[in-house]
Amino acid sequence: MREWADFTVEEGGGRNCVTLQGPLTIASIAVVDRKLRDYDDSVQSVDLAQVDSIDTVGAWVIMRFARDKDAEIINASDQAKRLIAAVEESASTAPLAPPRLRALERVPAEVGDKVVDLGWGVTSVVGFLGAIISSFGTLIRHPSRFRFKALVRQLEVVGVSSLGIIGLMSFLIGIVIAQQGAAQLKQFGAEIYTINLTGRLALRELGVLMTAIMVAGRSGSAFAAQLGTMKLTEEVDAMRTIGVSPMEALIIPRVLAAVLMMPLLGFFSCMVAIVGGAFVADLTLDIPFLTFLSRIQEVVPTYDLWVGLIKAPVFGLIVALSGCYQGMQVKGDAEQVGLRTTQAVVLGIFMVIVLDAFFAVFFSEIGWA
Amino acid sequence: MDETHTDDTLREEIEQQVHDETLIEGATDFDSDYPIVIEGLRNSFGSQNVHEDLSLKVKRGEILGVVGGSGTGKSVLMRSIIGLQIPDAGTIKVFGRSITEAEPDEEIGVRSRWGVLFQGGALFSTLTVGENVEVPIKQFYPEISEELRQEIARYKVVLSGLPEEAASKYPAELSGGMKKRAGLARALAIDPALLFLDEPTAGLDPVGAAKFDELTRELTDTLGLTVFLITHDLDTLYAICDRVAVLADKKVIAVGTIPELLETDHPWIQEYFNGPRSRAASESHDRSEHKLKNNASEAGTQSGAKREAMSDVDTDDGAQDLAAKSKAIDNDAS
Repeated sequence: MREWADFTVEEGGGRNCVTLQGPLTIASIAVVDRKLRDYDDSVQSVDLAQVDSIDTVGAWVIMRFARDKDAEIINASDQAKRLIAAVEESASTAPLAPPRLRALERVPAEVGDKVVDLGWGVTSVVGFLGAIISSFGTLIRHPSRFRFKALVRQLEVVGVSSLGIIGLMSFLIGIVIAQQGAAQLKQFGAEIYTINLTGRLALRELGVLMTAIMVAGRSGSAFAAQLGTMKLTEEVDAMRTIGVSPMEALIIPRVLAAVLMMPLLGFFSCMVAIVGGAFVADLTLDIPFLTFLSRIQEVVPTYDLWVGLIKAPVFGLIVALSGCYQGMQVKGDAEQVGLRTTQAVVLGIFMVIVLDAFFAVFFSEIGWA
Repeated sequence: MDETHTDDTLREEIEQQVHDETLIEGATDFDSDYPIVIEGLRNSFGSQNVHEDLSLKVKRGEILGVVGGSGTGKSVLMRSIIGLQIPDAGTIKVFGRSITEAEPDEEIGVRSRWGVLFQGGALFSTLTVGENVEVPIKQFYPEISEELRQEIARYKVVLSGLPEEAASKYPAELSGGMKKRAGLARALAIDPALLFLDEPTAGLDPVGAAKFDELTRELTDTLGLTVFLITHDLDTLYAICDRVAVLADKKVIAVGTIPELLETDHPWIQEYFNGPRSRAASESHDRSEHKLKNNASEAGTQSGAKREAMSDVDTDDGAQDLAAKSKAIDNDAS
């Protein structure tokens, strides 16, 4: 077992002398520290003659005790004297926790901060969008400055390499729509409407929406993390100093890639979802695979396809904008990169869903119901 | 009677909280003359060997400077000693306890006796400086009361040369130099016997670097630390290191005081210590030493001589001797 330091009190002629024994080190101090704190008699001297080893923690405990009791330290070894002098010099009463307002003040202050942040955030996102558009305009006037290679690279990362995951996801969504739809429609013998349900839902809503969510999670987050890291390592600053505009070199290719790839990915997703639906219909509803596909042509109006394809680039813009904006906001430390990446994905998906609701109302108002 | 009873319950209560790393089997030897002993160490990354048959002994109570060109594996050596890098071959013993045979997170009984300052400070970014210092105390000595733990954290922050209001700041609010000092405060939190410093003065301005050197020397002398110090800073080598180990050709090619190293004829050592930068550092060191001696004799104390005597000590027997010598010097002075 560990050896604990201890003390005894000797009284003599109205003078109390506290004598400490044993090693006064961080490992053995806990008991004696609490006992000394509870000791409330007066003390005139603290005797260290029987202390066999001491470190700064021991020195601190002795120094504090002697200081509080206004006692004299006697028989201290040279090392003890040195340590006591060192900790005495370093004594501090500063708080360890950061200053914190009381709850009554903190809550309104935080609410106020959030409101101000929101207002400021909206302004700066709009500003960011404006900067993208204006630098796009510059690029149209000076097409030689356009970074074609960077764009192709981003098209590959955003589009081609996500075909697998988006295909799998859409296939499963098609299966789920058809299977769940059929289960409900069977109740009044209208299983054949599973085809309408799958085709229209995939083309109008789910294909593009799920693709946008997947792109936000896959590419929006990557944009934020890449740009954030580049800001931290001062790569973005280095670009500016050698006259390369980060807007043209980094952001335009990413935004453009997302805007161009989203309709293609969305269309791909719709098609795979329909195939998934046809697959389930073939297995469980006795609707042959090819019949399902040919019926799609008859029951799904062409404008359903347009609804999806018109929404897709807008969603791509939102997702890329959110990722790039959050990435460029990174300052300070590595923690920010994680925080901003999360925000990019959350805000991107949230904005996509809000816009999707607006689009739904808009398209039914213009008669594309 | 009643009082002794409550004492016993207090002690029992505290003993229940104790997290006793030092009681782990494979007893450690904290009084050994060589806190770190490395033999036949081999480290490699892929097909590239960083260390090959490297051996090194660190003496108790000394500041050992470790130098070497970039990429000679100074940091890898330090990481091997503290168990973060598992070597391919060889043995490393810290306080007599084998690091190489232990699992990475195994309780090996020596972690509570060393402190490590990483290059960038490696402070926990979600905690304030003061809370950072509290972490090792909480981990190794949970029986210490919160009150004392906070007091310890406060004085360690000031002891490391930070202003006291820095204790409640987050690492992100500190400058590079302050981060290093905060890292030092955390490394010193549990009064370690062994301190690892990875390029403590890199990136500091010369004034800040000189102050950091002074602080390291002062702490070593006051607390009786053994310091393993990786550095590129020639001023640090001349000012505070008792011995210097030179890493080249995948091993430690020489260990000794700087004059001893100068007598070897290895080309890298000659180039290193005879380059223009080294000569400048040496001259400035001589000047300040000279000044110190003059001041000391004028003031009637002999701190310069004391420093020299202290640096002689580590060639033999360790702390008792050290205490005896410094006592003798104090007697002389008075």
